[in-house]
Order: sequence, then C-alpha cells, then structure tokens
Amino acid sequence: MTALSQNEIESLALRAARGAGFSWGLAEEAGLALGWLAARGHDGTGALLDLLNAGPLARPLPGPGRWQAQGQGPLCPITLGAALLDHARLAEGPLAGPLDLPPVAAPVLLVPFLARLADLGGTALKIEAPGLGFVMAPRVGGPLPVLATTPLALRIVPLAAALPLFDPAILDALGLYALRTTVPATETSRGGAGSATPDSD
Amino acid sequence: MTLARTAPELSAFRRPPEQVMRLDRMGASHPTRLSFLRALLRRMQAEGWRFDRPLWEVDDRGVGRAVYRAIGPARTYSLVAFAHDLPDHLRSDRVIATAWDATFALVDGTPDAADLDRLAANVPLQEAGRITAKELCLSRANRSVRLFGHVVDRLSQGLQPEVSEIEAVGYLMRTTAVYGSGKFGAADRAVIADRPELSGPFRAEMLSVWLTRAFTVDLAEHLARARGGPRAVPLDRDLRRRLGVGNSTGLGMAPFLVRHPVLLHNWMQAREEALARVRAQNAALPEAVAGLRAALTAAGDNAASWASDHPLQQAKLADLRRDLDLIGAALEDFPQGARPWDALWRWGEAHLTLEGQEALLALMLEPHGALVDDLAEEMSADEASVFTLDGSIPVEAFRADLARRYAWALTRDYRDPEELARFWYVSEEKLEPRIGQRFAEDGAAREQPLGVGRMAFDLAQALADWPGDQPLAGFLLAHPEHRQMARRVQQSRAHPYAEIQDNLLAAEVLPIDLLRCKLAFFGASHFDPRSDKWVRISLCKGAPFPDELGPS
Repeated sequence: MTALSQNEIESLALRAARGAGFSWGLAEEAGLALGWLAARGHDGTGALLDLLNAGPLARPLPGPGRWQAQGQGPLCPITLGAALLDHARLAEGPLAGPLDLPPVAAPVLLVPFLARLADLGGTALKIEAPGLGFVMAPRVGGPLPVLATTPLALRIVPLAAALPLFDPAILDALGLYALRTTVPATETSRGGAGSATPDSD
Repeated sequence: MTLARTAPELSAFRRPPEQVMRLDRMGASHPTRLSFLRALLRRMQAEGWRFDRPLWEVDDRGVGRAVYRAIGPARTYSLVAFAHDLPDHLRSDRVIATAWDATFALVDGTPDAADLDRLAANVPLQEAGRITAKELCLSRANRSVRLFGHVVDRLSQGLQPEVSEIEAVGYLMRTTAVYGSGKFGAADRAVIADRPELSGPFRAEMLSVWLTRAFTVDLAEHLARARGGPRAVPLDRDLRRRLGVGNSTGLGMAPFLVRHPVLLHNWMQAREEALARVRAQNAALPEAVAGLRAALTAAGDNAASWASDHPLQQAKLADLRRDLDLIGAALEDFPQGARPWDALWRWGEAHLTLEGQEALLALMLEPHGALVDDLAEEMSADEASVFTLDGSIPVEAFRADLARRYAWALTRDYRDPEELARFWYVSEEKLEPRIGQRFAEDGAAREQPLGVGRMAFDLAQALADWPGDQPLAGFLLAHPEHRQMARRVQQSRAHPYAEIQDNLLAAEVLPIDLLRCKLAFFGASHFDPRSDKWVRISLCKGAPFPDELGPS
C-alpha cells in the first residue's frame, strides 16, 4: 500500500477523471471529492476506478421531489453530486424536502457532495437507502458510513431546523428544579419590591 | 500621522484590473516589501527566531549531510541538506535531471537519527523518492561551477573572491525545483495553513531557500579549509551578503497563476491596496522621503548588477536604468502638492515605461512598512471555500456579468490562427508543463485549460441561446464542458484581480511574463531569461544570513 498526501490524491483523481473523459469542471469536482474522503480516512480510489472503468453513466433529470435518470445505467455520482449542489439554492432544489434518487453508481463518491450540500444548507440531511440510514451533519469531520460498492437508490431528507415539540410532564419536572434557584416571597420582600412612592401620580 | 485608509477614500487610488492584469505589465513585476521572502524574514526577526546547525558531517570532498534549524517561539523547522559529488556531465537544471550537487528537505520539527536515515534514502532521489507528512518541502540545487570554484579557490589561498566575479553570477548554487504543498508525500498545505508563521503563501519554500543559502556558503568555506588548511579564510561578511540563492526554472510554474485565480487575486489585491494606501497619504514625512531615496539607490545598485544576454530582457533593463535616472531627477523636487505620493505616481504613469512604473511601485512601498506590511498576512487563499458554484443565478444575470467582466476575452476573434497558435500541455515523459504550436505539433486534443479567454468566449456562445430566466444549474447539467469556466466567472466576481486579461494561446504570448510575475511575488531579483520559457533568478541577495538576523 502507498501513502499519498491529500494534494496527491486530489491531483491524481482530477487527472484520471479528465483522462477518462470527464469535463475539466467535473474532474475538479472528482478531485475534491477524493481529497475530502481521504482527509476523513477513507480510500475512495477503488470506487473512482470502478466508476471510470464503467464508462459514461446516466445523468440526472431534476424534478420536484424525485430526480430521474437520463441515459444508460445508474447515475454518475460526480455528475449527480455537482447537480445537487448547483440546484441547492433553488426553491424546488434538494434542500426543499425529501428527494428520491434512482440508483447511483459508486455511492461512496456521492458522500462528499452530500456533506457539501449539508454545509450549503446549514442543515443536517438524513440519507435513506434500502437497509441503510445515516445523517450528514454540516461540517462533518468524523468517520463515514460504510456504503456498498453497488448502485444504491437514495432518499435525501433535509432535517427540519424547526424546534421539536416537548413533553409537558418532563418540562414540569425540570421546572421544579429550576424553581430552586428562586427565593420564596415574604411580606417584607413584597413590600420592598416596588417604588417607594405612589405610582398613581 | 493621519492616513486615508478607509475603503471609499482609497478607491480613487486603486489601479483597475484591466490595467494591472495584463501580461506585459505582469512581466515587468518587481519584488516589493510584501514579497513572500521579505515577509518571512520580517516575521522571524520580529519574533526573535534563533538559528543553529546541530549537524555538520561533510567530508573533504564536500560529500555528507547537515542540518540547519530555525527555532521560532512556537515551532522549529529544520533544513536537512545532503551534499553530493556530482560529475560535471550529470549537472542539468532541467526537470529531467536525476542527480544534483545538493538535495534538501525542510522538516517540520527537529529530525532524529531515524528521520535522517529515512531522508538520506529518499531526498537524493528527489521525484523518484518519497517524503512524509513530517516534511514540508523537497528541493535540490546545482553549483554555479564558475563562482563556486572561484570562491573555494580564493578562500583556500587566504584571499577573498573578486567582487566582479560574485556580481557576475550572484550565487554559489541555484535551486532547480522547490516542491511543497503535499508533493511527493510532503505535508499538505492544510497542515501549516493555520500556523501564523507559515500561513502566508510559499513561506515554507522561502524558509527552505533562505537556509539553503547559508548551507552553500558553509560548504564553500568547508572545502576551502579542506584544501587550504590553516591558510584558508572565511568569506568576508559584506561579500557574503551579495550572494543569494539562484533558481533556475522553466514553464513548470507558469500555469500556477492561471490555476489559482483566487490566490492570484489575493496577491495582486494586497500589492495594489498597498500602493493605494501610499498614494492616498496627505503628506510625505521626511523619514519616508529619506527611505524612498535610499530605496532608489538600492534599486540603482540592483539594476547595475542585473545582467542578461536575452534581447528582450536587455531592452527591459535599458528601460529600467533610464527610468531609475528619471525617477532620481523627479525626486529632486519631491515632495510637492497636497498628495505628493499620488502626484509622484501619476508623474510615473505619464513618463515611465512599464518597467519603471512597476519599479516605482516597489520603491514607494519601501519606506511605508507601518502602513502596508499587514497586507502581507492577507495573501493566502482558502480555495475550497470558493469552489462551490451558485447554480441558482438566472442565466440572464450570469450572461450579463460575463459580458461585462470578460470583454477583454469576448472581443477577440478566435477563428484567427494567431489567437490560437499555442497550446499548453503536460508531457507524458516527465509530467512537465510545456507549450506547443497548435498547428504544427500533435497533442492539442489533450491541452490544459489555460486558454481562459477562449473558454470565456465558448461559454458566452453556449449561453447565448439559453433561456435567460432559467437558473444556471440547468445549463451546467446540460453543458459540463463549461463548468470550469463558469466556476472561474463566479470566483472572479468578488476577486477582480483573479484573471490575467490576455490570451495565453496567442502567438505572441511570452510565458516568461508569467514567471516574472510569480517570481517577483516570491521576492526574486535578477530575472534573467535564458529563452522565452526558461529563466534564472536570484533570491535572498542582500538579505541577512541566519547569524545576522538579530532583533532590529
């Protein structure tokens, strides 16, 4: 096995993707994705090689709540990932609500894009797939979920930023503790709490 | 001193990108006090860094190893040097070389014995070896056979070398590559980006080169002692100061400025902001005027020892020398008027060549450290933070922005073979960037994306028929081939100095213009083209040595 710096991984992935026929702009996205994975201890090179060996794959066709695949085979994760980010700020984009995706090739390569999507939206994303569920929080730094190397149909669910509803019994119990920070009233304390002069002036 | 430093007041004194970002002007760049080497030396001096040489194991033939340490308040860095016995016929500055007079690694911290053995097995191999995240830079250098031999010869006889010989060459060794930022297994830029002493661009590389300079003199003195015994003398300290480290470089670094548009902006922006601050001042204080005159004298000395056999550079040197004389004459009446620095600058723009104007810029910054030096700390870039495109912008708005800011690119006729005569590529043989003739050589199908002007033109063409009310995201999905250029357009929106506003594919393009601009930001002097794509320069000439960098 060989140790490479993140710079070397990014550079190799960029050049390999370009050499395999990706546009320069998408090859840059592939480079960044491989570097992102490497910085989190994950080797994405095998997945990238599988992807490049597979030849041209389907492109996404965006639509509200569900994107379709255009072309042969599963979706290309690089093209899909870039498109998800490009559409992120749109009203009907992937951050608007649950989004269903057809099978995605080499799905681990989509993870860096999902992380950037979470960053862009400032919101966590729940990723659901058959037999699998994980959350991408913004600015994720830790270990990654283990994803199959086979194509995976995904559902992206932006987790609502709204505050949850609370259990009143628990709130009451916490309130009892909180009350212990206060002092019970007396006639003296009541008397000294207001103005020393009449208020009806 | 009241200084006009707020943004609205300065805007009148800023040069626009269409003036600054032209190849001919970039090819007249001079180092300034914001240059990376200067900024590094200032910081080390201000922080009271210490320097030592804990290891010197070099034999009488000049073969062995040495360690130089730079010990800062928070961290220590070490240059590990390997000196070799290189037969003359193997000495080549080109990247295809496989052996050198000396090879180096800059280590993060102090290397232990195991590190040294590991480096000894790899560093002399350069690209064919591997270093680790414990190293920041990998480099090599070749002797100036002529000057190195002269200096050793004279010192060994108890004599000092001839000043004329020193001035004619300027360095004992020249580096032929200095690799950093994760190359060949070295630590990634991210490892040092948060360290104040190395957060500026290329600071680790500059530290490596500056310590290399000390090694070259130590090696020459060592060989003189080995040859002359008790007769040998050390190099005179004033003569030593005249020695820099040479650097010999080809096209390898030219594409960098195009590939890193936001970084290029930050370099240019810092320099232009500094000029604007100086121009906006209401008065010229006596000490600043004295500093300007001293800087002019130094520039005159520099121009006098700056030699080149290349006709293009000879013409530029003639321009520079004449312009420095004109500046000297103009300074006899300086300062004058309400904004004397601005008046001087405007005079320069009216009367000087590009060489003189850019030299004047460097001169005007020189006495204004308190006013401008903070800008040297703002020259790095977080490129990942500006990488993601905004696909929500309507095509109409994007198109209008492209048309407004890339007029320099869109008005050229790319059907004209002269506009497309060159192409940039990477050689399979040595993975070396090269430039070719599109209509005479093979390989244009694999060209590198450096023809930004034509890329902008192609993007504008493709956008022309796209519905204006649609978001850019749909266009990018349908046209991945324009994604890279679309990214550049969005990145340069908030970074107006990001794009070189010339066609890098044109027949008349001079790659050395890119090299000069980049090397000037490093702090290089004595730019000496050996062809239109190969150049030698000097770094550190006149700068203090480690044993001289005391508190100011």
